[in-house]
Amino acid sequence: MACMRRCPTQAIRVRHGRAQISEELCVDCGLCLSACPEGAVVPMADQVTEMSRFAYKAVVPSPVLYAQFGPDIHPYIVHLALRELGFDEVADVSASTAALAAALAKYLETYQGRRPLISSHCPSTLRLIQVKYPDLVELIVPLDVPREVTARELRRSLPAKLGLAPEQVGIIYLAPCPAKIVSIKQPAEKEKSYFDGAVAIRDVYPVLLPHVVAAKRRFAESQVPGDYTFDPGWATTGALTRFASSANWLAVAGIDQVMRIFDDIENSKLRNVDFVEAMACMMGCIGGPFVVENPYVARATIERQRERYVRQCDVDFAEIERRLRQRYYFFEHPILPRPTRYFDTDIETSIKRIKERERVYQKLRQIDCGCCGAPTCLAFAEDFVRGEAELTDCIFLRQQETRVPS
Amino acid sequence: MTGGDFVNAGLVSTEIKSLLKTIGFDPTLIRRVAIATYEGEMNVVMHARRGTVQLLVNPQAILVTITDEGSGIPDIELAMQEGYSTATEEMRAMGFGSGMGLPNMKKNADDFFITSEVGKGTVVRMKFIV
Ligand code: SF4
Ligand code: SF4
Repeated sequence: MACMRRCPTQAIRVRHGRAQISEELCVDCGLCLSACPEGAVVPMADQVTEMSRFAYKAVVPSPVLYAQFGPDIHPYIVHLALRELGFDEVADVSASTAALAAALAKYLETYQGRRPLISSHCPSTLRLIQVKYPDLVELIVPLDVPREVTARELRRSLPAKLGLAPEQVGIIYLAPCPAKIVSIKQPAEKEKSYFDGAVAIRDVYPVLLPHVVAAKRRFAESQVPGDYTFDPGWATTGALTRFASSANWLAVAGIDQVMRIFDDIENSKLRNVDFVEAMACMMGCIGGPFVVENPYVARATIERQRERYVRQCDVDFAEIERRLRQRYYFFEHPILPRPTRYFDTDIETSIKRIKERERVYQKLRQIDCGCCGAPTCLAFAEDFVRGEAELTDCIFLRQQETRVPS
Repeated sequence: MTGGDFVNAGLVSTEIKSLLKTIGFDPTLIRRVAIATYEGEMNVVMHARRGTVQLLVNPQAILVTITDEGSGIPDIELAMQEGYSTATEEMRAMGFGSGMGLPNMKKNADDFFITSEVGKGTVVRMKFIV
């Protein structure tokens, strides 16, 4: 029941003691996973062991991974540990992050259309826009995200460098959330992701931790190679805007707050804002459903790491402009609305059904008890009108009916 | 809607918007209704004691009527000019009252009627053709 109440798009119904999720409405935010004490909701994710089918295995960790082990763990230790775990190569997203931030700044500079633009790197936010705010899809920045650009470059360079066939090289992502895993398995903006798979950070953590501890013991700062770069990236809200934006920006995190901001944009209330960085999780990706460390602790760790270990890579601005002109950084497809046809019928019938919904709603107690299996009384009325619930599913209406008039 | 209630300002237009989305109207049309209704709602919050929004929907048109009890508008023609505003300093400091409210409503609606009586209140009727 907790999952049902927590869902921001009311995608969950509890029927016959089981949670059912409407794929149409689900935006993969993972709040139901965090809310479910039983772990009943199982997301699709790969396991590290499935990667053995590749001759060469490259891994791209979300920068959130580095914040899971405390401020004294140099990010390079995490790389060493991942190699010990069996990955042949660990690729950091920081080069792509820096390039995309510069590309975004450039894009904002020359963009003339409707404002504010909305960031594209949280797939859950993108889904939310597709499903609930179809009018805002045109505001999504059409630039691809660091993880995909990193994988794309590996995919281009690795097979030739290693003398392997492309299908022998596996590239996988370590993800902080179900949304990113879904974005790799069923991308909205391209035919196919550049990744071959995605593993949840919380699944790799227990097997990785012993290697991190062991690697730390042997580690000396002098081991870090010269071409190594590190930046905590966009893992905390506001990081992207700090990176990229010279314009008037706003950074918002947490899906409820994101929805409030999107409502304001739709009402055309945010007139003086040029760019909105919107992340579905509280505090950004460090608050993702698939992380292990408490997000406040993770943020403190990231801040420490930012002070101690950052090694920025050089940004070649001329090259970025060239790539922008070639549309290298752009999404393959524009992101299109995925309007949910609640009633799936013509406007006239829809209006009738809305009236019917109102009539049923007025008969209910309107206390959103949830016993019927719907998150609110209004949602229950809607389910009834769509023929998906019986009035007797409401415990109060059932009582009225069974009470025999004397 | 209650005058001076800036905390809940915007809730009515958000609710109307969600209703229209559920019915399945075109997003661009919904945006126009939402913007116009939001401006109307803000006008009530800024300038009136209380007000109501009535929504009438049929497959051909959406009608929004905003009725308020308040001081009314002495010179409607002046009030309809872009940039004209009687909002207080505080309201402007909060980002409201740019003097775009009524012009913006008119711009977004297909038909726009306004009547006002000083000391009593204002009625705005807007029609949006589907
Ligand atoms: S992932 Fe989010 S949107 Fe999907 S069912 Fe769970 S709470 Fe709802
Ligand atoms: S904020 Fe980050 S972790 Fe959370 S859903 Fe979005 S991309 Fe995933």
